[in-house]
Amino acid sequence: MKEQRFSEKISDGLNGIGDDLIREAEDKAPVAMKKKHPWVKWAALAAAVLLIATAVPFVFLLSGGFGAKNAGSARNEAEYADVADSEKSGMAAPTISGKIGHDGVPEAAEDAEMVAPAPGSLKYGEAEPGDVTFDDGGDGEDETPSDEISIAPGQLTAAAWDDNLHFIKWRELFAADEQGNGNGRFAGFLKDDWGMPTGRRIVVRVTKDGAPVAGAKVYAAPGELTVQAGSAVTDATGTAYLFPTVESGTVTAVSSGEGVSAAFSAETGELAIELAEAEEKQDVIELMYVIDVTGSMGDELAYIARELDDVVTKVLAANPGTKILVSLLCYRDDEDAEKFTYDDFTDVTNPENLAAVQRILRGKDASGGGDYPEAVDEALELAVSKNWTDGAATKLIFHVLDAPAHETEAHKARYAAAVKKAAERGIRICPVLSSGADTLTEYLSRTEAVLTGGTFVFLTDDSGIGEGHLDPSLPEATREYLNALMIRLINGYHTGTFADPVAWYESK
Amino acid sequence: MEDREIVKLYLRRDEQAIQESERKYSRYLRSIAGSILSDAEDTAECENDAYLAAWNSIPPQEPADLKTYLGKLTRRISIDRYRKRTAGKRGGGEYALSLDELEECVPSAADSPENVLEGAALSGILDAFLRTLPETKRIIFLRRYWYAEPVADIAARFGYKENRVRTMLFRIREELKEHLSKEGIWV
Repeated sequence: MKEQRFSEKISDGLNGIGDDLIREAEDKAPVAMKKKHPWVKWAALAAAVLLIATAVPFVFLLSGGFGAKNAGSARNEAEYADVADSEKSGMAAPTISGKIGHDGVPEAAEDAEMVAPAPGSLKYGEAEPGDVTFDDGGDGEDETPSDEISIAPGQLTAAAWDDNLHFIKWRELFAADEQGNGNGRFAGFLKDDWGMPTGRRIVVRVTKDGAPVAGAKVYAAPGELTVQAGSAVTDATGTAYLFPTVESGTVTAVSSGEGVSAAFSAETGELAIELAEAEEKQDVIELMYVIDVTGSMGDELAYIARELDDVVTKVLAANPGTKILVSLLCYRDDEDAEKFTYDDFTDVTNPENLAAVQRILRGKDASGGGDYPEAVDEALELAVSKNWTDGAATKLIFHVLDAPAHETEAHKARYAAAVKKAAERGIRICPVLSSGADTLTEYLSRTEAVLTGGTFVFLTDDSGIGEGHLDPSLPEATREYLNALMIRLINGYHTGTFADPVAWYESK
Repeated sequence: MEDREIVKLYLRRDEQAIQESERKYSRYLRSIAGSILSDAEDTAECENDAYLAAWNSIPPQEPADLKTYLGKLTRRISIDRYRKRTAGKRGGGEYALSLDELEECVPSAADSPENVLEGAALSGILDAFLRTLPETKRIIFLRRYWYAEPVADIAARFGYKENRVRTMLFRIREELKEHLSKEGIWV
């Protein structure tokens, strides 16, 4: 037999090293970045300069010239559209704080306020967006800039992770001794009581004639007591996750008709309940975007907004006949003048409503904040209190954030209450962790998702957009395009069948 | 489908296990085999052989990390094929280049000629050595010598110049050589 070369023995020896090392070299190796063509940068810069040169005189004239006051508040729909167009142009400054009613008429058309653009107020990312597209959006008759820079969707990359499907791994994150010292990623947070324990979990599967029942209310109670110790609503797969505060007791599931109870023990962790009657699942998707729009989001907010806009369009196309309602809640922090803006649920199967939602999304810009924590708890409290459908609709919140809630007892209590309320109402929260987030934000985000049966989503560095993104050390999570990922999740929650993720580098 | 579910299919002797493995990991396994063999037909055959090897080894094996398990099978099978193909002559391609580089790690026989080591014990020493390296260096080393990835591709991943990667690899090989010498290893 031929004697092996030294290098061959080393090579063979490498096949026996730890699996974790091989996984690390596969999963943590950065993906090769494509170099941008220099002309893209220069073209974007040139376009930006052109826009400033064009738009500043325009706004000057619109505001009535020297000494003139604002051009009034009541404007017709055509004017509204003009403002929205100039917003899309990248000038950003004309902002509209609008509402969309259920009737489809944008209330912003009546009460929008103009704010003069600040020179050089191009948002980060728009002067060098990576892939910019140049559209000739003007007709030459109005006085809006005829050229615009728009950000193409399908650029941000992200990954999704359902901790409820990897619950053993989730628990390992808290590995620690009684003093809270340990090597688990979240062990340090055990000392801080955020009021959202996930230590005991019951997976409840509700069926009728063997088929999953969506929208069934499920709650746990200690023994015969009626005090609830965890409450949730089944998803399209008939599954609900309960996090009871007691070791054992009864779980009751109810859809239509009488509820059915069964004994539970946190040790077994799983329960199946067969109902005699059940409400039919509604072909309705309710989608709320809850977005942190403070200054720290400025590096990628324009891109995120573009993806969210694209998601609405594509979910509509993928679900003909489905009623799709979209709402938008943006938040900042206590000291900010505009702490919240809310645009109520609107039926985007109506093209006018869809256009209004898109205009609002594209007009969002990042400002305010100051300290690191933001009004996360209040935003979620507000979000879950809104006009969600009762019954077996698909209810989702995509919570885009890069910072945690404030850590006072009052803020923590409000946060926990809001998340529990979401679970009770069957609203699944899918946090979208953005650049600049820390481990506390990751912990809280993932907890939101775990408690409500949602999915944790995190933006990744693969896109090259935005500042550095936190790595939650989830090597099995496929890096996808954010818009494709969100569409996959929405359709998955609605139908109960989740498509497999497609890595971003394989999808184009 | 989750890996755990696929492993259960193997354990139940359900042939869907192979379909699911292929659907999920075909690209990954082909990249491993392709780097070693540089031949599409051989690559495809090695990939199929890896699924067969997984089918024959699970059970009794029950891998905790299916992706890496399949990756290791593919690498071993591909290297075997490479050796058969190049028996009696020097092979070409990226894997051959990486082997040539690893030859530099050979410690002086005078250091410890009696300590002939291979197999699991050698793997253990290499494993321990790799864990002493900073993460980036470790990943670069394994991209080159486990995945047989071209230096240019590694450089592109990390945004480094090729020379920088070559220098890093050279220094790691020197460190490995020293480590093997200190351990009194002669393979």
